[in-house]
Amino acid sequence: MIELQSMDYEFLDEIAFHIENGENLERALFHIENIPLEITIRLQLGEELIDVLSSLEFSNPSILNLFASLSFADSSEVLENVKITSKLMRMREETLREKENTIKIHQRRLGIIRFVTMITIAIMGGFSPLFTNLYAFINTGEFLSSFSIVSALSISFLLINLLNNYFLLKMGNESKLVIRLVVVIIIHIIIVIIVRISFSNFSIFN
Amino acid sequence: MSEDEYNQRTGIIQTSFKPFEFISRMILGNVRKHSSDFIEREDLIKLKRLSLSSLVVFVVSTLIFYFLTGINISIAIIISFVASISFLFVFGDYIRTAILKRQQEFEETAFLVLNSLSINMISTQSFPHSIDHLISNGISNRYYEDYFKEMIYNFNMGEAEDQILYDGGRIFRNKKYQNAFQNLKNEEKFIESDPDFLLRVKKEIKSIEDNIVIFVAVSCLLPLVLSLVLALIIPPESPSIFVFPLLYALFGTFILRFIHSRSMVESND
Repeated sequence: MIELQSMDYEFLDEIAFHIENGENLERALFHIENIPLEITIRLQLGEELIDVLSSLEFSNPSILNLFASLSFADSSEVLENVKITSKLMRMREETLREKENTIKIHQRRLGIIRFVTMITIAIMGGFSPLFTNLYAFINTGEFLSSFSIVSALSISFLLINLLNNYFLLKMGNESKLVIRLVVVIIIHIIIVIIVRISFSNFSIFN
Repeated sequence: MSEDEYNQRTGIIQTSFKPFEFISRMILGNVRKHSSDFIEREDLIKLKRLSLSSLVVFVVSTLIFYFLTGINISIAIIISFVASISFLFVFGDYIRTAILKRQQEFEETAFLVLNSLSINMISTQSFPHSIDHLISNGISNRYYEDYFKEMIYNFNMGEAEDQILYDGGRIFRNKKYQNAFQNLKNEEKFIESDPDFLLRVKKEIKSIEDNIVIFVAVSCLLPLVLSLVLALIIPPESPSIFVFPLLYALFGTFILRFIHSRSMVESND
């Protein structure tokens, strides 16, 4: 099978255009720019038109039947059919493309939101020992000396970050949720460690 | 003998409270009303398993919190209750969105199927052949695939073509598509520029974008405020802090449900 270099409907449109200008199907094929070289060579060698066309790979194979009737039937009716078919195909392609574009834009927007909220929550998670110390300060009047990285509060921040990402991914109808969530865990931990290192350098906590 | 008759004869007073019925009503919500055709037996089995395992979660987490951390039994029970409810809702939402996705795919394929059928119809000029082409090209949705295979079977059994054409549109939920199917053989061609599924997708995206502000505000503010408040009233190492991500899970699930059901109601209006 020989693959067509243009979309099916573009091919049909060009054929319709050339036939409308008074060419027959065979000559129309010679006029089309994107037609594979093999096709024109086989036509020049005198092979049967339908055989040559049936070796072309269309995304909708039933349109071959259109060409089969093109040589016999009333050409104006067939021409009309070619045009409607190409219109239907164009509609299909455009609809699918529009849907894809809409979803892609939506996913990109949600991606930005996801990224910003992820960093915000991770930074809060990094500051969680401050909250821990606040409790100790209120109760005993002095700050704790330890700033343990693993505490119930920081684990709960990690869980929240995961949930936040999960919900946003679900809203965007994204795939590969697990891999993305693993990436979130890694980024969260990196941010928490960076925040922890940078604020433990302040003299007030040492 | 039906269940009601049996109850009447044996004198059992049937209570209206059925636990599983209640849970499926709670989890599936108005999916039961709008997409009832797409709820499969497997979904209900999964839901049943989920509700049983949420009971297990409740018992196990009560034991863990009570024996491992040694907190007050009532606090342990409250935390475990929240844990099992959010477990039920978060995973129940997974089943729920799977059903909704199935419906969305079905509606999207309706346009593609009709479009392919009309293309095939123009080029082959024969209804059975166009259905044959449709199946051999491969339909991504199994509901349509099974349906059209059965249609081919009916053709082979000798059913009248016009009758099949007249009845065959019933798989489409949309009246417009049903008419388009009946008119496949007529001159009236199926040319639709803005298909319903595209409008639906756009509507859903719009409703997400309208409500995303609430979600973002809460997802950033709630952790900050709650952790400040918690830091003042609860010892930082107490396991009761885990109530907070659980509540967050519940909140997120409800926002998702809210967005979905709003777009569902709008598109059904």
